[in-house]
Amino acid sequence: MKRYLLLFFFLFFIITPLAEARVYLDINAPTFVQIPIVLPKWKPVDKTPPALSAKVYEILANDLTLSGFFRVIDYSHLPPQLRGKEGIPSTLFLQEWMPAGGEILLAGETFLELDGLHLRLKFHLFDLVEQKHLVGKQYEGHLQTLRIMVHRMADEVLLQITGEKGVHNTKIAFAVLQGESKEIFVADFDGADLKQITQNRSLNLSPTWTPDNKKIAFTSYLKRNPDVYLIDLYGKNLQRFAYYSGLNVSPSWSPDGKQIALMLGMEGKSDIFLIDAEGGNPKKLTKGHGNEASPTWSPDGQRIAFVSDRSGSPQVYVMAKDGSDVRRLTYEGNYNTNPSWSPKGDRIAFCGRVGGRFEIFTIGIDGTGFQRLTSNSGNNESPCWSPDGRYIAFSSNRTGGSKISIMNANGFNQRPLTQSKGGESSPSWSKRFE
Amino acid sequence: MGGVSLLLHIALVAFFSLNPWPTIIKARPTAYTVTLMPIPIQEPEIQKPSLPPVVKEEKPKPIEKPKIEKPKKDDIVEKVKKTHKEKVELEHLQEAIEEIRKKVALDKIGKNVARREKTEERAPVVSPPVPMISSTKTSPISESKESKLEDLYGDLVKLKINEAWTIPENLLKEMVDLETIIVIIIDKDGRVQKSWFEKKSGNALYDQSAMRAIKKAEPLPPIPKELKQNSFEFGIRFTPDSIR
Amino acid sequence: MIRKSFGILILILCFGLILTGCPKKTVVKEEPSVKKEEAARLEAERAAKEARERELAKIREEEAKKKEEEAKKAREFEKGLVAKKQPGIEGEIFESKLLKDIHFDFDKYDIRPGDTEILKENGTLLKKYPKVKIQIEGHCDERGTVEYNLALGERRANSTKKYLTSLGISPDRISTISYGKERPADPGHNEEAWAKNRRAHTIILSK
Repeated sequence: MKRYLLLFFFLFFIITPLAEARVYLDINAPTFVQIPIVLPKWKPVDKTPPALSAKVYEILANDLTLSGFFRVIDYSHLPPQLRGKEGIPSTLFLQEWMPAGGEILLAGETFLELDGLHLRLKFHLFDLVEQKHLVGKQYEGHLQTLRIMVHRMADEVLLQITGEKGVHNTKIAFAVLQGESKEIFVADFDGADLKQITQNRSLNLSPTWTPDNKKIAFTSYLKRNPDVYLIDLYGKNLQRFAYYSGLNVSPSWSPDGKQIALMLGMEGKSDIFLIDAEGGNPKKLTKGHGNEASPTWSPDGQRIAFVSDRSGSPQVYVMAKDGSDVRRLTYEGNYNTNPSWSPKGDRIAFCGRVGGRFEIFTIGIDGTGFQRLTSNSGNNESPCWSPDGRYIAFSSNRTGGSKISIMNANGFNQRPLTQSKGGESSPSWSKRFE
Repeated sequence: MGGVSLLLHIALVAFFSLNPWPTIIKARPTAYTVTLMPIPIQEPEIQKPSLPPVVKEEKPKPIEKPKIEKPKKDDIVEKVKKTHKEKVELEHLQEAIEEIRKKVALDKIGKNVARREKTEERAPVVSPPVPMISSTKTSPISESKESKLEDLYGDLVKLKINEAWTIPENLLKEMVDLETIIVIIIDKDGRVQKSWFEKKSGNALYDQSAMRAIKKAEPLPPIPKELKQNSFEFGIRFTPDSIR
Repeated sequence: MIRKSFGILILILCFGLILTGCPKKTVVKEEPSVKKEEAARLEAERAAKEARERELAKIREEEAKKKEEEAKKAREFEKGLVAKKQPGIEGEIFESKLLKDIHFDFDKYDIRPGDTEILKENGTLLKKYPKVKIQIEGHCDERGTVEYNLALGERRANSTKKYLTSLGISPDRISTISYGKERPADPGHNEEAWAKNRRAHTIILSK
C-alpha cells in the first residue's frame, strides 16, 4: 500500500509541474479566405461520354462554390503539368499537387454502364496540407438521378471539411408573378430544375413545405376566399386544407408534424390559431386587439415566433405554444415582420424597414446579438433558413425585379437563385431530400 | 492545479523528511500568457545588421496569397546560423526581435485591412515598438536571458502559425467564443513531432483550420541553441478577436 | 232725375240677378223644391267624383313618373353593371360605378370621416335593391410584406362592412375578402398610387 502511494505521489509530482510549465501562445487573427480546393478533371471511364463526365464536374464545382466554404481551383487554372491529369491520384504522389495552391483535393471518375442508363460516380478527397487521404465514396444510380448523386458528393465533402453535411439536395419553393396571377414554382438549391407547380391562374401565395417534403402548402383564391391548399411536387392532387371564413394564410407545421400554426381571420381580424394535422379543431392562441401574422415554430416545438402590431406597429414577438408567455423580441425600427426561426434554435431572422427600405436581420432568441445582413441594396424580405441553419433564402429587388436570393447566415456571399428577370417572392426551403 | 501541487509538495516534503529519496526536481517557471507584443530588450550593445526587407506585400490581400510560399524570415535565420559563434547567435536573435517589431506593426495594419474594420491612418512604415507591456510574467526569475529567449522563440512560433491560419468567411461573426487549443512538440529543427487537441471548440471546421494552420506553418523556427533543448512544447490557443 | 233712379233700379235688378246666380250654399231658398234638391245633389256628387278622379289621375301620373324614374335608374344601375370573371377565382361578379370605393390612411383601417357619406350613398343604393349581395374587398398599398398586409386588408374590409350594417343593411348580404397588396388599382410606385390602393372596394356577387 505504501509503495503505491509513493508511486502515485511521485508521478503527480513530476506531471503537475510539467503541465504547469507548458507555455501557451495565443493566436487570434486569422485571415478570412475560402479554403482552396483543387479539382482535377474528372475521368470518364471506358466508353463514358466525356460530356457526361464534364457535366458531373460542372455541377460539383458549382456546388462547392455555392457552399461558400471553398474557392474552387478547376483544372483549367492548374499549372500546365497538372492540367491534363484526370481521375484519382495516388496518395503517394500527392506532393506533385502542391503547386496547384490548394489545401484540399477532390478527384473522381464517371462510369456510364453499357446500358447507357446507369451511372457510377466515384470520388476521393485528400488533404494536401497533411498529405493524407480523407474519404472515398462511390454512388450508383439511374442516369436521371445524376444531379442527386453529385449533390450527395458535395454534401459529403462538406461533412468531411466542416463537420456538417451540406444542403445541396434541397429545394426552394417560391411564388412568381405572372400578369395578375401568382403561381408556385420550385427550384433546386443550385437553381436548376425549375418547375411550375400551380397553373390555375389564380392568386397563389406564401408557399411552405410540409414536413415530409412531399407537398407544398399555399394560400389560393380559387374559391373566392384565401384558403390553404396542399399540392404535390408534380402539381397534382390539389387538396383544400384549411378554408375557414376569412383569411387562411401562412401555415407553419410544428416540428412533430402534429399541429399547424396559421393566420385565421374567422373572428373578424387576423389571429394566430392552432389546427390539427387534418386541418380541424381551431384553437386561438393570440389575444387582444392587434393584427397577428406569420407564425413560425422553434425547432424544439415549444415556442412560436410571430408578428403583432399590438404595440402600434408590426413587431416580432415570441410566445409559448399554448399562447402564454408572450414576449416582444424586436425594439429597433417601426416595422419588423416575417420571422423565421433558425433550425439551430438560437436565432430568428426577420425583415425590418430601415430608411424606407427592407433589410434582413437576425437576432438571438434572448433579444441580444442583433445583426444586420443586407444593406443599401433594394428591398430584402421574407427570410427563410436552410435546414442546417447555415444559409438564408430571401427575396431581393436589388437588381430591379424581385428575385429569390441566397446568402450565408452571416450575410456573406449573396447571390440570386435563378437567372430569371424577377417577379419572385416568398421563398420556402425544403428539408434535405435523402 | 496549483493548489493540488502545493498540497502534494507539502505532503512529499513531510514524507521525505522521514525517508530520504533521490529527487529529480526541475525548477520551471510558471505558465504565462504571451500576447502579440514586442518585448523591450536591455542587451549589451551589439551592432544591428541591416536587414533585408521582410515586408509582406501579400498581407493586405490575403485572398491572393499562395499558401506554399515560405516566409523569408526562415532564410535569414538559416543564413545567420551558418556563421559561427555565440555572439552571432545572439545577433540572430536580435534580428528576430527586429522582425518581430516590424511584423507586429505591419501585422496590425495588415490584419485590420483583412478584417474589414475601419482603421485610422497609420504610418505604413515600420515604427518604433508600440509601448505596451504585455506579458504577465509571474516567474521570479523573469530577468534571466533564458526566459527572454523562450519568450522570443514563442513569439516567432506564434507569428508563423498565425500567418498560416485561414478560415472561410462563412465563419465570420459565427466564431465568437470559439476556442481551440492544440499542443505541439517541436524538435530542434522546427518540425512538429507531435500534436494533439487539448481542447476542441465544438466547430469541426474551426478545429480543422487550427490544425491545418500548424501544418502549413511547418517547418517552424528551430529551437535556439541557447535554450539547450531538443524539443519544446507549446500549447497553441486559437481564439479569434471579437469580429462583428 | 228719372235717369238716376232708373239706374239705381237697374242696379238693384242686376244685384238681384247676381244674387240668384250665386252658389247654391250661399243662397237660401225660400221655397225648397225636391226636384231642385235632387238635381243639386247629383250635381254635387258628379263634381266631387270629377275632383277625385282628377286627383287620382294626378297621383297616378306622379307614381308613373316616379316608376319611370326608378326604372330609368334601375336601367342605369343595371346597365352600369359590368360583369366580370376574374381568372382563377370562382364565380362571375358585377361591378357598379354607383358603388364607390373608400380609402384609408397608411397602416390604418378605420373609416375616415369624409368617407362616411360615400358609405351612406352605397347603403342607400343597397337598400333600394334588397336582393343584391355584395363582397367588400380590403386592399393595401405595395409597401410592407405580403402576410401582414393580408391582415390589414382583412380589417379594412371588415370595418367597412361594420359601418354598412350599422346603417341597417343585413350582414348576410355582405361578405368580406382581403387581397392585401396583391391587387393594386394603380401600379405606380409613388404616394399618389399608394393612396389610391389603400381602399375598400365593393363588388356584387348576385343581384
